[in-house]
Amino acid sequence: MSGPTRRRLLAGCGCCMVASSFGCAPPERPLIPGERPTTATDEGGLWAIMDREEARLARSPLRVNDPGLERYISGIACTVGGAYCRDVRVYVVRNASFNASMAPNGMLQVWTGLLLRTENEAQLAAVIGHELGHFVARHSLTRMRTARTVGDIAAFIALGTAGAGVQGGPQAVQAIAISALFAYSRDQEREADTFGLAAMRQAGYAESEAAAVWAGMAAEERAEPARDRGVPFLATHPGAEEREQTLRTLAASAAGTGRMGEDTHQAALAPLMPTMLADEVRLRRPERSLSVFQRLLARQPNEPGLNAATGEVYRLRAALGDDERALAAFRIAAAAPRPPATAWRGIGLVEQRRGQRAEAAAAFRRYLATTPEPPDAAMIRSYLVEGT
Amino acid sequence: MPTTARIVAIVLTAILVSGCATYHRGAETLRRPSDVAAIVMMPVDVEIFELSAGGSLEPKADWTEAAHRNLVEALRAEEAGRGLAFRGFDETVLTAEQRVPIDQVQRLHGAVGRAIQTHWNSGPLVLPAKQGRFDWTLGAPAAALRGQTGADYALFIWVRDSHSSPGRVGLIVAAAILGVSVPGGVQTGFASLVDLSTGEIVWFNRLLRGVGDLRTAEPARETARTLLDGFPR
Repeated sequence: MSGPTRRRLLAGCGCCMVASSFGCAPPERPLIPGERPTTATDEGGLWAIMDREEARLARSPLRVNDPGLERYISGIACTVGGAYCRDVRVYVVRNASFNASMAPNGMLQVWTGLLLRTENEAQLAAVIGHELGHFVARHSLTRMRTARTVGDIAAFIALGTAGAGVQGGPQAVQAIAISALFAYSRDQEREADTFGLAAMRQAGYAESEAAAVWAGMAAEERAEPARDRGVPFLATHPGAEEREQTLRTLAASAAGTGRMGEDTHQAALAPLMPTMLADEVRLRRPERSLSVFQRLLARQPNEPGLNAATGEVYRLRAALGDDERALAAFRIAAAAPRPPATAWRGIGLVEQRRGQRAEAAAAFRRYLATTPEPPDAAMIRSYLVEGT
Repeated sequence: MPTTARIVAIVLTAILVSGCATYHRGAETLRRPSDVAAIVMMPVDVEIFELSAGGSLEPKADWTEAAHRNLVEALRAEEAGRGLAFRGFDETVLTAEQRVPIDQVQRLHGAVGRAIQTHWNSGPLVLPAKQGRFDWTLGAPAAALRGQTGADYALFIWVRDSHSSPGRVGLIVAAAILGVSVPGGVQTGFASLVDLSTGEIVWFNRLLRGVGDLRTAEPARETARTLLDGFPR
C-alpha cells in the first residue's frame, strides 16, 4: 500500500474508534450479600490484592486501636448496610484529612479528619452509606475495567495517529481518555450519594444531615485563601457545593424527621478528640481549621478542647489581632474544671510574646502545676528563670 | 516505510535486553557458627499482573497463588544443591504482641530493599555518599527476628512480574511494523540476605528482565535459580 493511502486509512480508523470508544464498560450488577468472586476473574485479582492491603492496614501503626470507637462505627455500618453488615470491616486510620474509602473487598477506612468534622451519628451514617454505595455497585471494578478498555483503545489510536503522522495525535488522545475517566468517576460519586440517602432513610437517620456534611466542607473550602485551592478539571469528585445541592434536593422529598444521634456520637469520639484536634492544628491551615472549630463550637460554645485548639490556631497564625483572639479562646478553656494542657501553656506563650512577663509567668506556673509530665517542662521552666 | 533492517534491529535489541538479568553484590561466604548456617526464609512477597495493551497492570489472583507456591517450592529445591538449610517462618504462631516488631522488620526491609533497587548501581540515581560501597543495614530491629526464630540469617524474596495480554502482544507487533519499540511484560525483584546478628544486608541480588514465568513449576525453578545466582557458599 502506498504511503498516502495507508495514512488516510489509519486516520480514518482512528476517527471511527474515537467516536465509538470512550463509552465505558457497562455498569456491573450489584454485589450479592456474602458474595466472593472466584480467583480466576479480574474481580478476584482485585479482591486478593485488597485482602493483602487489608492485612497490612490491620497491623499498621496508623490504625487507631480504640475498640469502643470501632464498635460504634461498625454498629452504624451494620445498621446502614443491612444485609451487607457482615461483608464490611471498619478501620479507623489516623490521618487529619477528610476522607473515607471503601475497598472492593469490604474494607472500610474512616480517617480521623473525617470523624472530627462529623457533628452527629447521622452525618457519619451519610458518609458510610455513600461508601457502601460504591461497594455494592462495584464501582472499583467498573473503573478498573473502564481504565483498561480506554487505555487499550487509546494505545491503538495513539499508534494509529502517530503512524499516520498526525501532529499531537497521541497527546490529544491521552487528554480525552483522562478526562473521560475523571468524568466517569464523578458519575459514580453521584450514584453513591443516591444509594447513601436511601440507606439512611431505611436505617431511620435524618437524611438532611447528608447535605450538612458537605455544607460544612463547602464553608471550609470557601474559608481557604484562593491560592491554596485545587484544579476542577482533574476533580474525581463533584465539588462540595454541588454535592450539598444534590443531596439537599434528593433529601427534600424525605417524609418527616429521622434520628440525629448527637450525644452518642460525641461520647464515642471523646477519647480520641484531643488527638484529632492536635492533628488538625498541626496541619497549619488556620482558615480551614477555624471554619471547622467554629462550626463545632456553635453547638458547644464552652467545650474546653475546642476552645484550646482554636486558641492554638490563632496563636500559631499570629496575624494582626490574633493574640487577643487566642487569649479569649484560651481563657474559656482554662476556666473548665480540668483544662486541656494547651490552655495555660498557650496563655503563657501569648502573654510572653506581648511582653506581659508577670501574666506569662503566672500562666506557665499554672501549666506546670496542672499538667502531668509536660513534655516541654524544661523549656517552660527556662522561661520562668529568664523572667526573674 | 521502515526498512527491514530497522525491524530486525528492534527485535534483536528486545532479545538482547531481555538477556541481561541480574546484578549482585555481597559476601562470598556465609558465617557458619555451627557448621550449618540457619537461614530463615521470610514470607515470599510475589505478585503477578497482566499487562494490557494500554499499559494497565491488572492483578491476577490465580497466577499470584500459583507463583507463590511454585517459587517457594523452587527455592527449597535450591537448598540441596547449595548446601543450605532454609527454615520456614510461620507467622500464624505469633501472638499479637510478637507480631508488631516482626511486622516492623519486614516493612523496614521492604523500604531498604526498594531503596537499594532504586539507588544502587543505577546511574544518575546512585547515592554519592555511599562512594561505591555496598553498606545497608536494618540495624537493631533485626534482633527481634533473631529472637523469634533463632536463625543466623534471614532471606527476603520480593518479585513483581507481568505478562503481556494478547492485546498487548498485538500492539507490540503493530508497533514494530511501524518502527516503534513497545515494551512487554517485565520481571523485577530481589533476593536479600540479612545477617541477623548485626542487621546488615550481607548479600543482595537484583533482578530485572523481560522474560521469566512463575506460573508453572519449571520456569519457576529457573527464576529461583536466577534469584539465588551467586549466593554465598
